[in-house]
Amino acid sequence: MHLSRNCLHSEKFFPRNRPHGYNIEEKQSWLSINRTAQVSGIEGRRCMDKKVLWLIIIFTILFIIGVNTGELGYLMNLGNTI
Amino acid sequence: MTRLRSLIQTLMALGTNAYLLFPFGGSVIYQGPLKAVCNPGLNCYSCPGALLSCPVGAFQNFMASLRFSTGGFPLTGAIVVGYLGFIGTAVGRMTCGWVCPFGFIQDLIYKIPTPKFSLWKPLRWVKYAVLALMVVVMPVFFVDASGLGHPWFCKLICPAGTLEGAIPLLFLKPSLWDTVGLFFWNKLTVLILILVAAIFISRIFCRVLCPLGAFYSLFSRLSLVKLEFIEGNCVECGACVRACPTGVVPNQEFDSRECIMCLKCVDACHFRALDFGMRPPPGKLPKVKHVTSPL
Repeated sequence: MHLSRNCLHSEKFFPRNRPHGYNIEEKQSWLSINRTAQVSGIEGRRCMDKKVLWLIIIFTILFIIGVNTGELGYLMNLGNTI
Repeated sequence: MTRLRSLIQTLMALGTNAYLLFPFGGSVIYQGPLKAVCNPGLNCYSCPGALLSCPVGAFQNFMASLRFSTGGFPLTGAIVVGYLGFIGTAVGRMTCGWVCPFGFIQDLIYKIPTPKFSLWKPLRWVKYAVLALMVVVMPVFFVDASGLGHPWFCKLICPAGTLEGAIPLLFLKPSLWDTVGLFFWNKLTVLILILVAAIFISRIFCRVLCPLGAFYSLFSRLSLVKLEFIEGNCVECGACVRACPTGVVPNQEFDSRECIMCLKCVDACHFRALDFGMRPPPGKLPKVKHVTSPL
């Protein structure tokens, strides 16, 4: 999504109930300084957990066990019991 | 992004209930091979249009049948847990925001222009009790005189079942009116209360009562997808908080269990402080992300 400079002046961009002390000049000067932003330290720690791989393996095994123990057939015939 | 989400929600709601297109195909409820697959969202098995099973209903039936698993391996619902667990690990509650037909219905109802209210936050925990008690414990232990367990969530609460299953079936097959009893009127009351509440409080059923959402939320902090927060771009204008349908504060609550990844906050943020992304693999340091500011 690309926002043009004019878009900054729209009501959508700056809603009426914007926080106190918040103005367009302040924001534009802030943006000019921060042309690029880095991911915060908190964000950086949020990489994939090793547990995820194990969980995927466990759930796949559970699914296969379910298929092989006749649960698939039970699921298909569930309508006869309802 | 909002339009794309609405389109996917519409396609999923119609696609998984496509049997409605063939209402004279014999049986009122479709019982073909596709019913062996569970819908990732909450969609009643007994809906005259449903092509897929309801995961919550299927799991309760497995639990209810545990006592009768004589000989062979007991049917524990491993197939449903494996299926839902896989989806939960992959995309977490994104399913609620993008695929669930009942969530879509609530989204539509919430568009009715009325004063809107926020939810009392402790109510969020009720859905975990519903999952544990009504979906797992009660079908096993609360049995009738013949020793048969029942899908208690479907019988007592599920508004999707009443809206998509019971009401259409009663109109399609009037002879079913003879079987209507206390359970139906109780569930109809629950449905009306939830639908009225959904006009004023967004996604109230998903946030308070949905056991499927509770199950998926267990994986919110592990799922492969995440909402990225770029702190340097945030001006704390609060636009994301106002846009969030589940009352999350995206710039403070990372990987919230309540986040349904609808990405309304991403659309609302004009400073690109929020973005949708995948988690980097374990052991690999995440790249420093450079995001160009809107100017």
